[in-house]
Amino acid sequence: MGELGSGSTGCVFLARHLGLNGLRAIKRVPKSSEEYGSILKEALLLKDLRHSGIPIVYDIEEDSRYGYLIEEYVIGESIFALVNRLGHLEEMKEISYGIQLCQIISYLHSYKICPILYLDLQPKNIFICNDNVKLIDFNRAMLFSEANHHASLRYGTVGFAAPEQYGRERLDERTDIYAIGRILYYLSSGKYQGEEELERVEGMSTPFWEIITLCLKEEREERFASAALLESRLSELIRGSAVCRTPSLTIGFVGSKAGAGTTHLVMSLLSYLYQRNISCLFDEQNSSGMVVKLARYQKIPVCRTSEIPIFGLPFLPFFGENVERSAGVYDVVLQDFGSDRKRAENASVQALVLVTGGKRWEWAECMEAAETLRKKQKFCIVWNHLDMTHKHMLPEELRKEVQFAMPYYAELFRPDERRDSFLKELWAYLAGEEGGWKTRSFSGNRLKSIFRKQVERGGLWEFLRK
Amino acid sequence: MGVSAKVGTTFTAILLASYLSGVFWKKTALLECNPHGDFLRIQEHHRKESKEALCFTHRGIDYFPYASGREILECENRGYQSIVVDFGCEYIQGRNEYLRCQKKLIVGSTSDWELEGFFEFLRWTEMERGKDWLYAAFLGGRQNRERLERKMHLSVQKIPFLESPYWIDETVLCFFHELLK
Repeated sequence: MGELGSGSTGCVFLARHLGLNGLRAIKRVPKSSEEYGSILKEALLLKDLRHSGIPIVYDIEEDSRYGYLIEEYVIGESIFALVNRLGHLEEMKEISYGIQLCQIISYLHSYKICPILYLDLQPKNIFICNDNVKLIDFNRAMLFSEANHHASLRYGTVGFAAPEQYGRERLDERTDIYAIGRILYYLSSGKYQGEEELERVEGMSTPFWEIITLCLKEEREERFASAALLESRLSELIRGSAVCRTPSLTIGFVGSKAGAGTTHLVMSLLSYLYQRNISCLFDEQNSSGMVVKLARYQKIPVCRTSEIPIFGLPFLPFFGENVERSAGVYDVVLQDFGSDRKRAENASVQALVLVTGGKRWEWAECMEAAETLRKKQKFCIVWNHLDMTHKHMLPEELRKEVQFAMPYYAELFRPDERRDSFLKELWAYLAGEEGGWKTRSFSGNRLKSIFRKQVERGGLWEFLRK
Repeated sequence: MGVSAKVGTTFTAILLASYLSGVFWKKTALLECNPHGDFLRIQEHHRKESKEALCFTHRGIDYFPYASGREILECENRGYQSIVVDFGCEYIQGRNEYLRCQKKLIVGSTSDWELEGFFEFLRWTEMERGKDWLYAAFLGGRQNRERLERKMHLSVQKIPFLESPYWIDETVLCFFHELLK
């Protein structure tokens, strides 16, 4: 359809997919070019990445003369063009873009196999699309190990590259942090400078200036340790100026004993809610160390005291009291107390769920737990390990409680009919709608009469559920 | 093990124990295998009662002042998941126990007047150093650190500046993640 632009690595064309009628950006690089290998590398890196701020790579093709990388067409304006047009942006807007940029970089740095370092953050590589930040052009991005290989060439953009990129020092996540600082300064001033000391932009708030100077420290160790930490600091500036957002709903989950299935339930509800675009957080509130162990098993580095993205979902690990813990703001926070009933009892939650086994020898622990926990405003019991094909007697003492039966499902994160049906009901109750079941007693004749009438009217099952 | 006195060895040992205990919930013992007496001063400062002879608990870590190889063995038998040993700068006296450790951390300084001391220590221990040896420096600039790395073919992590060795933040997490990976 036309050429979008050209650069040192090749040309970029706009195309339309004839079958799907969608727009694509096609990057064409001559095979004779030194950069040809980088297009393949870029494709291999991007193919596994899934983030709203990173364009999707659809395919890679080649002919006798060129290689073609087919990507999502990003409709928007580069930061370079934006600042050129406007001069500079309003501070809150700059901070908002900075937060989004940190989220993308944080995602790359948390890449499961090995952190991905972007290494070429500059205004022409950052696009704004409907007020959302997107990062393009990954041909300088590298895995951490590759970036520090002795034979690797070093690239960057003057005015945005960190000091260590000019020599042979180690590159790490803080190299990208430096570049984020430069971008923030560029957004504020419309300028970028080389080695000269930066001057504070007139009208820039002190906290924002302090954050920028911390990003731009020459010594890596003095910069922010991670993009997540930088994001957290920037978010504080937004929170400080706007109405403070607290989670709208905090739900606690506690098991009558260890192994009741509490964590299983919390993780599956987390996944279910995320699939429905509800922002929520898994907040570990027990000392099992499960989140850290899971992160290490998934080879995700544990070098943040804020939420760790595992399977694309946010998990906040529980640390000792000597560790400074922080988290972003979410609409829903799911707190997993494990089997720590004391902690659950004293927690400040809007709803509390007791997870318990349904076997008779587990009733005593369940009733003991319910005795203390039912004082919470919203309380319900989830029965686990029940064979749903059989009728079960459950404790008479608990008949007034709202109860749910958790079906067996092995997959926590994949949609499953039985899982989703159960979680839909549970969520409807926890979020404020009625749900669950309570036991009621009827005489035999009364029951027959009720059933007969309901069969005549239809909807017997719905009646029984009520 | 410190290359010399006052380079931050005890601070780093306490920091490591705090990290292992606070982040990974490991039952951690911290042993003082040097004659400096720092642990007893910590005990007095925080007015800690000894739960048994020459052992006290502070912020979730069990401290063993004036320990020796025998206490290291006892800690292993008691089921501690992490045992951190502060040898001070007593390499000659503590050498045997030090070499038995699974990870051996050398703490030094790369400031201009202490860099040569670091070099000397590394040359002196050249025949004994292996892949399980780690190196960290509190003080000193980047250039000196890189010079040391280039000449001795090793990696030296910079220990972050911290007010307290008991308090873990992201800089500490990143530091130990880099050091121990």
